[in-house]
Amino acid sequence: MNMDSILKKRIIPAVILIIGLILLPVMGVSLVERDVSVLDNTATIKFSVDAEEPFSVGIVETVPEGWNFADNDNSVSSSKNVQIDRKNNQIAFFLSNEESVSYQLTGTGDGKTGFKTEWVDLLYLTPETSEGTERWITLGGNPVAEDNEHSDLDAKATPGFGIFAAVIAFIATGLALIAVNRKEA
Amino acid sequence: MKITGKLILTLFSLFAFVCAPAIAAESLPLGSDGEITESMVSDAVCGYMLGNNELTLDEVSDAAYVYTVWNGKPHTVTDMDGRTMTFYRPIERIITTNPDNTRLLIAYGDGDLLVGSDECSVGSRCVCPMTTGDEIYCEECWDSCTAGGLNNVPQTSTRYEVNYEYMVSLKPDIIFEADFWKNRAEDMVEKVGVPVFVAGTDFNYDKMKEHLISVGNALSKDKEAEELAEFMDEKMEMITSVTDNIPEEEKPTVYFAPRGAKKGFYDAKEGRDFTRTYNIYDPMTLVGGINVAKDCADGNVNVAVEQIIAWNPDVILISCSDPEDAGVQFILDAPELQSITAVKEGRVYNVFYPHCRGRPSDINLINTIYIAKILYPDKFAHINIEAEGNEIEEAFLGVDGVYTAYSEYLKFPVEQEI
Repeated sequence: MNMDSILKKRIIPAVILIIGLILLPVMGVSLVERDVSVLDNTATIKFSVDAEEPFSVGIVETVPEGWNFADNDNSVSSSKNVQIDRKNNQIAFFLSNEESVSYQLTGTGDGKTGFKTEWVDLLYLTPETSEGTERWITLGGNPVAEDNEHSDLDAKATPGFGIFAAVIAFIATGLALIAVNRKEA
Repeated sequence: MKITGKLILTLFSLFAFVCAPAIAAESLPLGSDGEITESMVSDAVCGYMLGNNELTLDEVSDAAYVYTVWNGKPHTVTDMDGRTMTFYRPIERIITTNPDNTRLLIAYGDGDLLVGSDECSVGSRCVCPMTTGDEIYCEECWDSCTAGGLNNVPQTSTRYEVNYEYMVSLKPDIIFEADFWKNRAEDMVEKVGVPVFVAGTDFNYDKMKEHLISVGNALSKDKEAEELAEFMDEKMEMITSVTDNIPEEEKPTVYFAPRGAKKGFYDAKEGRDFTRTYNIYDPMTLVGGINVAKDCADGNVNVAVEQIIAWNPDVILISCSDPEDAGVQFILDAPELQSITAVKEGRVYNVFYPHCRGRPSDINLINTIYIAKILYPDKFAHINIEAEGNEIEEAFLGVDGVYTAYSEYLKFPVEQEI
């Protein structure tokens, strides 16, 4: 195999594959934008989705200290699809063909500094059977790959587990039968 | 006796253990029984985003998909053979057994979901350009149709055999089977254990569109399928808006030899050659060509040379997988055919091969325009076949320049005067 052939058949496909894998997580069709307006001590944060229907996204925002959610969930957001975790200063939304959603906070600041927003395209199809938070996208940044406490990748990415478990089950069954035989004998 | 009972119990438990994942795929996400509601998905997604539940991205994505795309219910579809099947999770791993279905997957943006396919989709020129000598043209087409490149997709079947074990190992959610192999569909369901969707087309224009819509419906890409069908209609309308106004008596009679004249009039081994024709070829008749074989009983028929001479067509169209073998010059020179008007007037032309382990709708749509230019050169002189061909291929494969690549190695699209 000459150099030209190696280049064509091995290196170029490999490079394209690597580029494809790098770009894969950011190829989702949805795009989430965040706008904020602050009036007196109240910040109104609005998330908009720029995508063609059908679309579906999950959004989570971590709020910095100095900002507070109201005690009543309805005062925070009128969305039906929201959950607030006051202990961890987080709020999450589910949007399905809903172009925007908003919520309010009280506190001081510009409503931007210290906030961390992540979202994930829930309709992105992939043959991958163990997707994790590597598909999460930090608003205005790159897909989340680290510093995430609830990565589900480790818990799920156990290729070959089924086969392994089946083999163990066979061995265990065999040992159990031998033990039973000896006992009965 | 006791041991036999225990053994049976053990084997039963093991069987249940092995089958568990398959059974799970027969249910909706989130353990839903019958329908997924907005509140179920919302709780699941928000809890997942906050890290307050044990759900995975796969599970919440599947739930969001079922709720958003399928209105919360399982997706039940009927294939072109009338077989009904139900999906409980999004279709994310696909195997195809012929290029016609592979091409539509790519057209609908699902090429990346192709985990296995046939030798002609991934190792021949049936989807992307490649010479009969395996030289790849338009690398962008090969590289962009699927993640990792179309020619790197695992081959799970050939013309003669299907590797069922390989298919099983790739864990497909669905297999798209060619309609001309529909008799093996149920066997495939049994051996692979997943729904097999039969779909295909022929040379009837309505069937071509039915194929687009059917595959689009299976993949929940109804909008994309409608758009592709509308695109085809526009191209067809561009031609028929002119040819529909031509009086019947002014339309030329045409003989179409889709298998070329590689070995002459008849190839005993393949059972076909110049004398093989079709009684229906819409890309020719819808654009104002009168098919001399239209009254033949079968769609795919061998006729006698004497019959072709008796038909005395005004135009002869020939195609072959390798245009070098089409035999245009052989026909022009054949002493037996010298009385035919088409031969006398030199109106024997190469056209695009309408087969490729199926009936490629992209190529047949190009043929529609190309044949229109052959039959009515004055009326369609303004049409740039290269621009049209590239636009058609881009609509199917998402890549510009595919027709240009075909022209480079087929040669006749550039060299043949029409």
